[in-house]
Amino acid sequence: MRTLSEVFAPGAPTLPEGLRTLVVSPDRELEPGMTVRATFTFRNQGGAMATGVRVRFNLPDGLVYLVGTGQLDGANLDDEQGNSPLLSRSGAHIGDIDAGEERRIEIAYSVAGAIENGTMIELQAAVASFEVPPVGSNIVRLIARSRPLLENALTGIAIEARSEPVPGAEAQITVRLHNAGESSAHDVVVVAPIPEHTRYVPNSARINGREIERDLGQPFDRVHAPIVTPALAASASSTLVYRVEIASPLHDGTAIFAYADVASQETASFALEPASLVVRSTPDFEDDRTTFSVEPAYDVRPGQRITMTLLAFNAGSAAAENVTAVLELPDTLVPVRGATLIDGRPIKEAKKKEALTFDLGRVDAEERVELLCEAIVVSPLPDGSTIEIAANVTWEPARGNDSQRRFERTVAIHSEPALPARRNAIARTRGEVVKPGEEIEATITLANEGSTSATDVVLHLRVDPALDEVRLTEKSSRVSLDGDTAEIGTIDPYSSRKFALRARVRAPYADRSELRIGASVHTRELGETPLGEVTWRVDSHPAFSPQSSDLRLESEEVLRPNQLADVAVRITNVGSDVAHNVRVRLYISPEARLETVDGATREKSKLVFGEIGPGATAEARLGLRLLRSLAREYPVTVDGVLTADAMLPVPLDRLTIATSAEPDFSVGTLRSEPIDVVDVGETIEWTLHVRNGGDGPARRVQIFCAQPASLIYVPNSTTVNDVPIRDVGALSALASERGIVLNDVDPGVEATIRFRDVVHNGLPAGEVITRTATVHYDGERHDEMPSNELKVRANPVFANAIPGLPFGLDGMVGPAFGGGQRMLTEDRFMELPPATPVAGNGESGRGIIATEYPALAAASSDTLEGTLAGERVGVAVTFTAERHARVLRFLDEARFDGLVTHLFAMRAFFPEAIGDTHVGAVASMREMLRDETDRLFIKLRLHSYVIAPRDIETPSMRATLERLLHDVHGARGTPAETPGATVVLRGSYDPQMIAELGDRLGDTELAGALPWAILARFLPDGSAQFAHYRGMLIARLDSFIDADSTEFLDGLQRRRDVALDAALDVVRTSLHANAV
Amino acid sequence: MSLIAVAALLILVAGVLIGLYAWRAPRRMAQARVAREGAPLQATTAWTNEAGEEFAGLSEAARCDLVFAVAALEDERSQHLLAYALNDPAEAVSLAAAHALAGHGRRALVDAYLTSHPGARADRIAQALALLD
Repeated sequence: MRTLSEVFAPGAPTLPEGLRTLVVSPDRELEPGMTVRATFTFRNQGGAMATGVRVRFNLPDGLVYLVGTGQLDGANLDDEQGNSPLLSRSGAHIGDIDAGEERRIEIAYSVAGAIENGTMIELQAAVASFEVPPVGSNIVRLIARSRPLLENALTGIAIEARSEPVPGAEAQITVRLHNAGESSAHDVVVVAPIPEHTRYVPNSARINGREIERDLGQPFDRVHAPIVTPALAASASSTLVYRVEIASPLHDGTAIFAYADVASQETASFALEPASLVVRSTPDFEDDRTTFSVEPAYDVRPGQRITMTLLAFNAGSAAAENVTAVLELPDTLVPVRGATLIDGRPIKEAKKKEALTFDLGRVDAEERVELLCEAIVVSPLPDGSTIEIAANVTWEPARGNDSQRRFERTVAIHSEPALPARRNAIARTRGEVVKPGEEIEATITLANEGSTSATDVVLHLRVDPALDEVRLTEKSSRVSLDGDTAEIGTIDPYSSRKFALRARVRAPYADRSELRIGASVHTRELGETPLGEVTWRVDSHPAFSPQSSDLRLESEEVLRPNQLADVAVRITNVGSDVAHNVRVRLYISPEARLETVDGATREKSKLVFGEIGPGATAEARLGLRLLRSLAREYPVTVDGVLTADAMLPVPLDRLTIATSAEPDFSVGTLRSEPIDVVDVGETIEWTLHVRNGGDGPARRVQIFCAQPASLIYVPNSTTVNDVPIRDVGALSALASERGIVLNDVDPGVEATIRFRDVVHNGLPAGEVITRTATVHYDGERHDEMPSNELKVRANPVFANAIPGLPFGLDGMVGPAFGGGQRMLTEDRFMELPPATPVAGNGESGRGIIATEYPALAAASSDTLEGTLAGERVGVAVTFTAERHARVLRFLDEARFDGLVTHLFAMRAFFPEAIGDTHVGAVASMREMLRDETDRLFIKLRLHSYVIAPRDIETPSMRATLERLLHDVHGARGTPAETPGATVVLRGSYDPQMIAELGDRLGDTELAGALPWAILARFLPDGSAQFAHYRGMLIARLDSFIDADSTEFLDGLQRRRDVALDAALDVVRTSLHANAV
Repeated sequence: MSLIAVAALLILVAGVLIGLYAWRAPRRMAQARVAREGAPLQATTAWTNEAGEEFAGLSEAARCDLVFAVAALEDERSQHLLAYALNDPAEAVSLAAAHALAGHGRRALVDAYLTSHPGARADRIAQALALLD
């Protein structure tokens, strides 16, 4: 037996109907929503109380308990939640029911809203207690009556775009099916054709999100009336969705209608209200396929051509009409005419105003048009600037403000200056050849042909070191140079600046040198830009001119013979290069001789100056001596020719030196012999020495000497240099009106005029006779030479008788010799002692050495008188006390090894007077001898000095000797006494021997022994010591006469003659003995 | 006394006499040489340069010849050269110059030079000049 809980279980068999007390209203059919009331009544038909009674109703599908309707005997049995325990599994506990008691249970159901039509609903109640097993009530069977309802408000069709209802877009069509009825609709069919202007999106159909094409077996758009759902329950909905693609292009405003018909087995076909979608279609240039590009856009340089490309792509779904493109170009861009292309084809040339407006025409959807323009960036433009370019594209139809599109592009300009080499350079202004000291000029041109300014411009110069005074000017203003740079500042574009660069070539500078100036300019933008360089070639030469180089006489004085003219040779190199090997060849008149050169090297007649730099001056001082022998009154001319390497000879202006050579006869003497006192009737021999002591020749010399009445001229006694002169009448030519005429008397020439007078015997004693010789020369000049005073001596005579004369004779003048010449005979003439005191000045104690002539005996111990025997001529040398001592000292000192010692002895003892007349050459010879031996004496003090030929004899000495020999040729007698002499050394020589030796002199070379052998014969030999010494000396020298000079020189210095030296010592000793 | 004793006594006496003589003998007076005042001689041959470059470096004899040749000239420059030649290190050259100067009447100059350069050399030159006077 089943329990109450087990009954009414699903699938469980119904309970056997035990009670027929269940009443259901309605009892046959029911409809959805109806209330079904059931009442179950039962009775404890037993007699016992039924305890623990439970009642339970079943709840069939399709019915819904109505809350609050479960009542037991009218009492509500629902719990607090509204649940009825009658429908619970264990049933409602209704307590105990006594026997016989009846209970009534009521419950109401509501039929569900959707219940399939024909559904059988069975209602049954059951009661059980503890004592009674469940007892089922009668089963009430009710049949449900219902139908579907598809055509309702919820069933419809819709079409909507997924995004925008534009052509090409997708639209979704939704067919919603709703079964508003109480039962299901079966085999619901929907006819939904693809709307016009659309295209089904394959496999997009969905039923409630589920694909249906797989069930359909073919594409949705190919099935006309597919069953979209086999059953559509009541109140259920189903949605058919599929997508379509809106056709494109499509006119704007095109409506797309979606239609659908629905039907099912229970419902006839009906059409749904169609849905529509209005398509919005416009041309569109807004997407990124419409572009405007500028190429290049960066680093664009002025003057560069840029290409502007407008690519208008109609991304819309409608064609664009009247598409117009307008380019907005700034002034810095110049469009290139004729370079505009639309779709690659050139366009017709437009007017200028419309040059930048382009009609692109119609552009269909998805079509494109390309506009290509070219423009050129103008110049100049600052670097870094930008150019804004705009392009406007307009089209129709307009939709709001979207019918145009504007593009803006920026072109970045890269601009820089340009300094092209063609216009930026340094160039010479003048010629290529330049001379030192000159100014060179170059032009530096800086032209900025770039498109922007050149800033921080600095000009760098590379100036040759040989250029000085570098100046840079711009126009007339000077640009300061800092070293080799100059700050230029800024050069505007397309402007130029011009600078003048001047410099001076350093002087001197070598020839053919190359001067170079380089320049470069540095700008901040371009860096260093070379400007090139210019060169000059130096043309530099030494130059001399007669104006700058000359021969100049330093003194304005007239040059006289034997004088030195100081001539300055100044040479100035006025050129610009060093003069090498500068020489001046001198052409000097033969009257002058170049003696000294100071400041230059002399090479014969050339002066060598060597190198003289440019601008330098070399000076040499010349000593020109006017030669006495050649002296004339002609001016001395000095010509100079200046030569140097690589230079033409430059003749210098002739230097004319005025010379003056005057004869001078003022130093002549007129001496008489006797000199002081003369007896009446005595013959006076006059010697007139006329010497041209001047420096010029005398053309014509007239010599006069008036004949006084006190003197009687001795006819034919006048000689000139021993040449007899014809008398004029009874007088000498001197006394004539014409006088003695000498022609061409050169300087230094001496004429000795001798003539004799006889003292008038009628002159009184004491009469003073003087004569004056007058010399007229060279026209106006004349000199007078008075003679010494000659006193006439006459003795008183009373007697007139003379022994031997047979008569007395008045007027006799005494034992004279008449007018005849005195004869130096032994028995007729006696030399008188000197008239002057023999000692004085405190030297009275000193004696006089009386030397004897060889044939004459000494008369006393202090004085010597004598005459010469034969033809010998007397000589004398007198010493004062002082000179005596000095000679002794000299002889003591002048002692050398060799014969040379005796040359100094000859110097000491050479006579001062030869013969009884004045021999002018004696003094000259003594002086010459003194000079030569003094020099030799000094030289021999040099260590190991070797005597040279010039130390022994010089040409002047030879000439003096020849003159001496000539003068002594006519010497006669003995020299007169010399007053004041302490020691007188006398001697004589054989004039014949002298003459013979003199004849050999002309053939003898210099520095031989012959001259000295001749001179030795003039030495005194008045004493035995001197005679011995002179004899040995002559013999020794004679031994060298035939030897050459070398042997003689060797003998002088090396061969000592002891005997000769001893003889000299004897002489020295004898002299010492006479010295106090 | 033996001979030996006599000889020894004589030797002793001789020694005593020698010692006594050495003690009492007059000695040469040490005389301080009078220092002469004057500038020391600055001998140089540079004077030849004034005659010309070609005369530089002449031997002593040649310098003597140069002095003699210059002495024949009577100009002021020659006299100056002679005065310069007084400083020649060779005494003979200096003497030649002095002799030439004295011969031209410039003895005072020579004397002044010798006074300002005292010494044996000046003395010898002065003596030689006196001999040749």
